[in-house]
Amino acid sequence: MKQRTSDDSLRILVHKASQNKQFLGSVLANYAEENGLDISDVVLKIMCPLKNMAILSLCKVPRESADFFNLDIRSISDYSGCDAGELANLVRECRALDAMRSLSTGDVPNDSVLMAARDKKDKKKDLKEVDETDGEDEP
Amino acid sequence: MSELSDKALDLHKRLIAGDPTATARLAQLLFPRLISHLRIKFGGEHERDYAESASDALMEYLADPTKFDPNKAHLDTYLKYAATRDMMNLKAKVARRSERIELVDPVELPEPDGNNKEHRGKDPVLQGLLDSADEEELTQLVQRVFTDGIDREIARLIVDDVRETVVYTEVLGIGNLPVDEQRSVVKRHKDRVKARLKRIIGLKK
Repeated sequence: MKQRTSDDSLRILVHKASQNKQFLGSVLANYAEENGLDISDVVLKIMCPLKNMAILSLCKVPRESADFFNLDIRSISDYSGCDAGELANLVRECRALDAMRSLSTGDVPNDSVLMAARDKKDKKKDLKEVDETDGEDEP
Repeated sequence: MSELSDKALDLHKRLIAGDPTATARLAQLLFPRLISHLRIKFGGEHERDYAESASDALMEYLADPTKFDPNKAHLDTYLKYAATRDMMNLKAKVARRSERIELVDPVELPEPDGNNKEHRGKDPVLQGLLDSADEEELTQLVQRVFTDGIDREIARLIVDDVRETVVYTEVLGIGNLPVDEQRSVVKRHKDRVKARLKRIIGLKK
């Protein structure tokens, strides 16, 4: 992010992203909370340079459909410098947790959980695909 | 079109197309500029408020980019306007909370004959029209019809039910005038814009 913006200002923007489910920041925040970690620990877990934490948080969550999921993971990984496989795992894990949580509160139909479970099963295959692709542009 | 507007438009298209990094790229491009814009426009040391307002404006757009119509404005202009509006709303909220300004509409002045009944509080006709209008449609209507920047900001404030004179004073840039004169100028502008709003919303129905 440009130097003219202070760290505090950026923190406010990133915090807002972490409260909106459309943004990756919310996935990072949920995972951190679920596992008693700091968000920076989660960022390091997916091998993203800490200096790119803000831009990673401000990316949109990858689309769910199989057609786009790998493509989106790859774009985010290329852009933020994180590990695509680790990011894919993290997003899937959070989705599965979310689906389980929603199911227990009766918010969603059962097939959401089934989708999350199916994603887990296909994880190895998908990650292989993601890892095999090259990056394009860095921030 | 400037290089910045070109870049922003390109990223807007990528965002609409589903590129998950477009949000972060747009934030990188525009967030610092929104903060600078607010800093220049409002002056003083309100960095946190600038960040809040710029973030709100940006996040609102990023969460639903279809609200922005590239045929009507440049994205940077659109967001500057939204951030300014958020900043003014924030200031109004702070002012209300600290009770430094009157809670009743101070803009409404008594009529010369002393009968100020119709001017007290909300304008019931306009309020009825605003209540029954679709919010999104109203926003677009204001954007389209009010070509003058100041009038458009005043119209937005009226639609948002912002009633504090101090906010209108800032939009009009008349903070240097005596308070009585400020009120009178603000009232004149508000009345004119209200009349126009009534007309356009009425015609639309």
